[in-house]
Amino acid sequence: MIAAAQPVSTAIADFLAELVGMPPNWFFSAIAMLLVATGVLMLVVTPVGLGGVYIERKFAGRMQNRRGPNRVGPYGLLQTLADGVKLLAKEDIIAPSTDAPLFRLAPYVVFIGAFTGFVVLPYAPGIVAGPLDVGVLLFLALIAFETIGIVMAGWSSNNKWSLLGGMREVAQVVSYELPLGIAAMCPVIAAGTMSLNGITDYQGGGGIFGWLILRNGYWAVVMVPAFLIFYVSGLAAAKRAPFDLPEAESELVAGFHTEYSGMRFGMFFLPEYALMLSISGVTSVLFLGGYHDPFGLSGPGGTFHDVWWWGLLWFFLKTTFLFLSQICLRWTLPRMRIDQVMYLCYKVLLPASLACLVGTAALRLL
Amino acid sequence: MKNWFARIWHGLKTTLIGLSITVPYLFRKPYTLQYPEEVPDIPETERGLHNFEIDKCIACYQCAKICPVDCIAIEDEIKGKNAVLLKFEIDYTKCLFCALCCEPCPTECILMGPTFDLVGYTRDEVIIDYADRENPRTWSAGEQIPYPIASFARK
Ligand code: SF4
Ligand code: SF4
Repeated sequence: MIAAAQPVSTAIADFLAELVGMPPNWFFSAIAMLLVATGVLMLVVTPVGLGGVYIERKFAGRMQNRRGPNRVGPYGLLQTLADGVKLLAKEDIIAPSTDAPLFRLAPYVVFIGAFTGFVVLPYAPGIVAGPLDVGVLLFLALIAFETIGIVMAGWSSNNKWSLLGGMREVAQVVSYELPLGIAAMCPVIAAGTMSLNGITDYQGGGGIFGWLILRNGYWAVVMVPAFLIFYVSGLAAAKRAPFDLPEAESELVAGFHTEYSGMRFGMFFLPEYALMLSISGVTSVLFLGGYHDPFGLSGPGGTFHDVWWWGLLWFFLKTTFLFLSQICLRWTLPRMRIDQVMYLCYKVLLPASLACLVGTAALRLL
Repeated sequence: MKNWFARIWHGLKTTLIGLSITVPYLFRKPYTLQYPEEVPDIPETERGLHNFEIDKCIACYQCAKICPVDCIAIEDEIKGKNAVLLKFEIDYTKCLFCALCCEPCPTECILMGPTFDLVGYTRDEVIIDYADRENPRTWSAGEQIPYPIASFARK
């Protein structure tokens, strides 16, 4: 993506400079980069937001024997768009007792934290926005960054429900971050790199037994538990049920975003789906072979080696599968209590992830 | 330690059991009836909006008298031996669909019908005049009324 974005932004910069009649300089490049970034964001946000919310509501409906949205547009496809327009048109209320600067800033922090995660994901051979050497680290950092926005919202709202939601988020973060990071370290140790591209390349060839979760068969001993730990912590990171304690609509009204209305609420609503998708993407890269297919056709020497659409297809399939499984879990499990989350994260996931880490290191040495 | 593993296993197992209950619903036909487009099955004895056989009515006011909420308003004109209905209005903002009006009618010309929905923007729109032959629920002589309530058909 970066390969395509650069010439476009250069062209826009040149065009702008010509329009003003000045030699192209950094100023025009900066404006052009902003424009391109906005365009890419729009291209990502729109399908992620609209698609994610639509699928969630449709699934929720069907799992409860209802139909879900089906009135606006064919099959109700435009329902989310209509809701978006409604959110835009609503009054933006900022209560006088809120800590206004923080209150205004919080949605953007959450939004940025959730959507930046897509930068490091390798979608297909050659399609990655930022092929960082420390992709895993950046991703984990972004998840933590998103949390800051939520705590900010909870604190600055000056509302007991919001504060409780924010406090729960803090309690939840300190418990799930550890197993999340440690479980993510298992593939990192196995592949010997922190770059998501590197980890994907490492899993190429050998089909499903090249994927880290089943690598050579025996790696499954540590990787299946590590996958489950990462998946569960990822659910907690995306604040999905059964870990939706910060929001907890039945006890805390709407948790940390109780006081938000209009588009500011939308800015909390969309990132949830973005985060679900990006966490699903990272899970599929770390454990399920990223864009490699289960038949070994995309590995070195395979028929579809370095074919971008084949990779994109498999990445899409895996990510969608994980995304849908998260939705199914949400409509299946009841919300946990905060002490149960603590128990799960500290007493179950943390020791288990440490054991996986040690096991991975041992297998790596073999 | 044994307990620890047992709890993990229990958690995983119960999650899978839960999923095995909820996921099949995804592939089941939803129960929802798309109401304005699809009309539900109405039983024959439904007490909905009245059906009225205008040519049988003798304007005896029995129905108006027995109505517990006084929602039937009749006006008539004597022409020779017969009475001609000028107005036979039922105010559906008041009617409680008790079917009491059907019982005393000597000619069995007012009956409960199957229509259960009636909407209007003003209250006047739900006051229906059955003396108007254009009314879809007013039946002239010889027409077959759908769904007459079985228990009232004293032959
Ligand atoms: S159904 Fe009952 S309330 Fe309605 S018009 Fe007849 S007697 Fe009156
Ligand atoms: S009781 Fe029957 S016949 Fe008498 S006025 Fe009412 S509808 Fe007409």
